[in-house]
Amino acid sequence: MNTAPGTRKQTWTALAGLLARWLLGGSFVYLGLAKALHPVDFLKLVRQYDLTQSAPVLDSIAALLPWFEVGCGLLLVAGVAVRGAALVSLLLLIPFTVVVWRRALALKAVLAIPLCAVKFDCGCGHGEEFFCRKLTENLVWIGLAVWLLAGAGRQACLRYALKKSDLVTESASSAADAIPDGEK
Amino acid sequence: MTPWTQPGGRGWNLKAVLREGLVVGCLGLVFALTANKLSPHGLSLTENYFPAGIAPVVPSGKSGRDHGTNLTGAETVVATLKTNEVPLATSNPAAAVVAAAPVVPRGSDDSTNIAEENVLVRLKAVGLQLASSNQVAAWFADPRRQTQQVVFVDARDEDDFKGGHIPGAWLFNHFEQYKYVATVVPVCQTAEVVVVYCDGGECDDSLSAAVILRDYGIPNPKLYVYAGGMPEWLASGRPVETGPRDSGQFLKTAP
Repeated sequence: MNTAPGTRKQTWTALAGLLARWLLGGSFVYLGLAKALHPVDFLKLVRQYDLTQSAPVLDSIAALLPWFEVGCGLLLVAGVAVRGAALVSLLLLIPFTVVVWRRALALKAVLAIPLCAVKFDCGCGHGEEFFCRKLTENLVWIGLAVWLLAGAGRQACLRYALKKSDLVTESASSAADAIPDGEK
Repeated sequence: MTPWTQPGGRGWNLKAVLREGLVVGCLGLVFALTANKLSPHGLSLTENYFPAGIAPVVPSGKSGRDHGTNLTGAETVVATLKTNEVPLATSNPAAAVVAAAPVVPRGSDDSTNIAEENVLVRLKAVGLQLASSNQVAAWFADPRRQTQQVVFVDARDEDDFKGGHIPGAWLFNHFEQYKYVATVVPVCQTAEVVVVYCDGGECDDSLSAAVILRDYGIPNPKLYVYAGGMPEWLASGRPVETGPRDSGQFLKTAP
């Protein structure tokens, strides 16, 4: 039965989900640490977005956001509260993509160059890069987060859902392989 | 798997996911607060690190290596004015002055002058004085420098400082001012001239550092900001000291 096409497809999907979780989590940890270890540089970059005139708000964004990102990434890598972490990741990624987009559009208008030729340090953690590349990267991360939110990445989890009852509700009508490793 | 179904149904439970997201958010916040507190690089959550104005007076330009874009200095000024990223009705007087500055045609080669002009209006807005390249050279040659009557203050970070600074300059990275206040402030208090500099262009760390020194009681008339900063100092072939202050190691610069 293990070689049945359906089972094989399920196995590959499960493996892809696991990779997606590790990739998204790993990138959050890496990029979060890159900012958290140089918070002054990140503070200056956040200031460039002109999001607020309040010093405590600006300080809080620059000081806490990178560590928040690291925490989220660690949960995803370890497989703890995966859908909750994916939801929070989405809530970080979407507004961030919007503000980067807005800034790129402003620079495009001023420089009168194609949008994809606009290059700046968005504060993402790996320096200056072309906007279109950054946008593509962010869309990939958003896609992965949505997939995890929809239920992928259940393999090799320490605790897929925080509350066991949430898991029981879902697994009652699901196949046995949908139960995460951490809960079996 | 069928997403977005009701609790008790098949697949996904929206309420459970939202609840879990909330828990993750709260845990993440606690983690972030703790990590920032424990980190040796942690930031204060209440300090104003930009005392001369939080709004980017000239956004996204050549304000040091950290804020690079494919804008030149001149284009940056144009960007500021055209996109009106600095609101005219702002609580930051420096930003208002810059926003009202004359528009410079795009593609001008005079980016350094524009940057300096820009810094000048910001300096005036916060009541500080600009030191020209010639003034700085004269002060550097002034014998009073040997007796700390003329003092140079480097407002960049320690790595930049060690990479090369004006000989005898004192490091005062205002983002970590608690490290430097005890040594730098007394020196500045007894000096007759205090020259603060950073990375030139639109770098405003020197401006922030000068405002902070003024807040510590250094009288305004003896505080100067050298807008050209290290790039101009290097370009003019003046001596550059590397490593810590008074290390005696000098960089070979162009004549």
